[in-house]
Amino acid sequence: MSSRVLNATPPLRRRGLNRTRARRMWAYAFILPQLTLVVAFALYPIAMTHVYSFYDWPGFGPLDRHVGWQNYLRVVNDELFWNAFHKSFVFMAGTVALQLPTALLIAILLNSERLFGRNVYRTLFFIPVVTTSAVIGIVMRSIFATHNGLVNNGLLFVGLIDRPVRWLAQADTAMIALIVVASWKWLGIKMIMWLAGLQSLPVELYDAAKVDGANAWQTFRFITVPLLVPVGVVVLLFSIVDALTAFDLIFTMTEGGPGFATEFMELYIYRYAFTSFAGGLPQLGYASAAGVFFGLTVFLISLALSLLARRAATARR
Amino acid sequence: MTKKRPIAPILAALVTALLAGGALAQATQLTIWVRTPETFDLIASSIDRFHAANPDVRVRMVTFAADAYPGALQAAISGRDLPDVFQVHNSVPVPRLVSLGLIQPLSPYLDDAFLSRFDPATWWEGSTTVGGEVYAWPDRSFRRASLFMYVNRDVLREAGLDPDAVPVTWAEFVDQATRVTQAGRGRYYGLHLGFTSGWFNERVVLQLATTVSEDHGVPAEHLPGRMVNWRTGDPFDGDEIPAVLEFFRQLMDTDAVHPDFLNTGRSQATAQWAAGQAAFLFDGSWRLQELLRTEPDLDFGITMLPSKCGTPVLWGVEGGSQNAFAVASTSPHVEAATRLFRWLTDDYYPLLLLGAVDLTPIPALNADPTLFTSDAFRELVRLTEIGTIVLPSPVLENPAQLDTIVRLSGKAAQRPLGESMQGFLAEGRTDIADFLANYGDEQRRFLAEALAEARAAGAEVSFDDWVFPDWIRIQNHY
Repeated sequence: MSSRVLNATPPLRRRGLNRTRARRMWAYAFILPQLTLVVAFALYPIAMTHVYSFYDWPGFGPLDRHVGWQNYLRVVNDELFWNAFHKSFVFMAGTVALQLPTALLIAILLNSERLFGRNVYRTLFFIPVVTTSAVIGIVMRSIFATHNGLVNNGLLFVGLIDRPVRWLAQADTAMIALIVVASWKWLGIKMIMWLAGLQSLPVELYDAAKVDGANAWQTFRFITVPLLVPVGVVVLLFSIVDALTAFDLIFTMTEGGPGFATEFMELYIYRYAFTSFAGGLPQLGYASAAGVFFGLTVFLISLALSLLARRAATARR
Repeated sequence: MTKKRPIAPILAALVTALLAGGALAQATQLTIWVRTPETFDLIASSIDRFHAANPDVRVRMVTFAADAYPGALQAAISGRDLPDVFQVHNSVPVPRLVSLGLIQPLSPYLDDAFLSRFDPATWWEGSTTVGGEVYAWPDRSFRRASLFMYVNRDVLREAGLDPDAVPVTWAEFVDQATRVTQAGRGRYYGLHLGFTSGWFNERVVLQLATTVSEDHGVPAEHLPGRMVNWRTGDPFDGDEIPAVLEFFRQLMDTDAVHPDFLNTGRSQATAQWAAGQAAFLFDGSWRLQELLRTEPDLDFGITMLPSKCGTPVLWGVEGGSQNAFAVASTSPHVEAATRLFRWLTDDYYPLLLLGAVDLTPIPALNADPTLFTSDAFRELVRLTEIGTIVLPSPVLENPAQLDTIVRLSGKAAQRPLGESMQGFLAEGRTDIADFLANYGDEQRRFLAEALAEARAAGAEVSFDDWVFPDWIRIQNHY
């Protein structure tokens, strides 16, 4: 009797439930390898970085010198940490300010159907993106050299300077050179993103604007720009992430110098974590604290940008 | 008609291959990590001959760029994945490796007859030896040279200067380097050096500072970032450093130094100097063998770095070895490893001299004139005898000081010297008194902390072991 009650579910529905369960199981099975990799190579290292940040630990030997918040206190009191923190954001602001409008301008030009050979131009702008950053850094070192560097020779030739500029040997000019090179390196990918955004805009709106007698500037100002805001937020987010993870380019082009003028956070953390910086043992615990502190800052920025993106998307709807 | 295939030779080849494969599989596999580029080729060729003489051991040599080595070593230690044999680095000195249980003693495998062939100071407590047990095999003599001035004689000739009248003092140097630059009109300059690596910048500045007066500290490879005045025990007596910066400012102001020196690596600077972009080059002794090998037609000389007051540029060392090889405690192949060390002692050490790389730790070899084939190397050895000084050792005074040394090796300045010097020069600043005062205070605090920690751990140590009132800077102490 009871078994009859238990089996009271109509066979069709039961089959449906089984199918749903099976589908879910398959879904989990497919997710599992990826999940394992995420746990092993993303979540576990992040969690361990937090753990290490509470230890005085060189990266080897027993993890037995718990120092509480001491590493964090050292971080916030370290002049070089704030120097790297500040420089990272100056670099980020510089590259974002240079890349976003330039990439948009180029995307608008390359979106024009009247432009001959636009695919060639698109490829040309994209080449630096797929070129290894380390190679670019080394080549740019020669291009920005004081003695016989291409940039100095060019400027001397056109008469803009009367003696070579020590581009990479002075704090301010080294930063400028890095911003220009990094912006050029990543310009192509931002241009493609803007281009994708431009090509997704509804043509009818432009037709309507034409009927209403809007000129090119008005069309750009009141149709293109507002509709591109969500894309812009994504481009902004990517630009920020690129700027904050530019280790290879900076390491090969300036090595953080001269002095600490272009030592950004990634380089700062690397030096403490993996080199016998200043003649002592590596300081993985301290480097972890600096990484966590900086990571939180970046996380907050990303969060703010995501909210901005959501708001922009809502406004568009 | 079908053609008969010769099956027998194929079968024989297969069997031979299988047997050879089996033999290889049975051979002891030894991995060795090497981080000194100037010895890569020499060690590799010696290992090839070792294979021929020892078919039961296969050695796999892994080489590292000098700057990448500390990170690799750290990862291997933390991952408990040290190779069988590895070159020690001063970021994790031998006593620390011993205290962590990461390396094993070699004494049971190296008899007295073998050890007695070496200069006795090779088996230095706190370096290759800990608690009387030998833990590391030296890759060269402890009496290592450091920085020298290389002279491109062709550039001097082209500038209308006598290539044999090289400058000795800073004043002479500034004068001559300026004249070279003026003659070069943007094609070549007086001086070049790659001033981008912190450790190298630090050596240049500290070694030049030893020539400002005769009363201050001496830098040493085994105490990086420090400049101990052994007479007082002050771990950072570097009052003369501003004078060195002033010297560089003078060179920069007169364009006597290559305009890219602050953003050029050492190898690139050497290549540019050899290509005729500068008359003088400041670089390590390790550059000599590379120049002899890669620039056979270059007419160059080697001499001491210029001196402020005419005294020799000094560089401190201790006995033992800063680049010694140790055997990981996890390695089951310590016998094979020591067999390799014995082989290298006989086969590779002579190559050090023949290749103009460095002196060996075996006096009998160093005294063999047939092993010196280059005049420049002979000169380098002569200059090394003048400028490289064996410093006093607190550990020899009191073995318990080993604990202090281990603890001191873990303490790093918050603002490192070498990178800071590069920054000061880039900014055109020589007002570094505050920086040096803070740096010196930090080093004194580190020594006091290391002594206190060692005492707390039960070691009977005192600051007095660091004071040698009769220390004379230009005398060897051992």
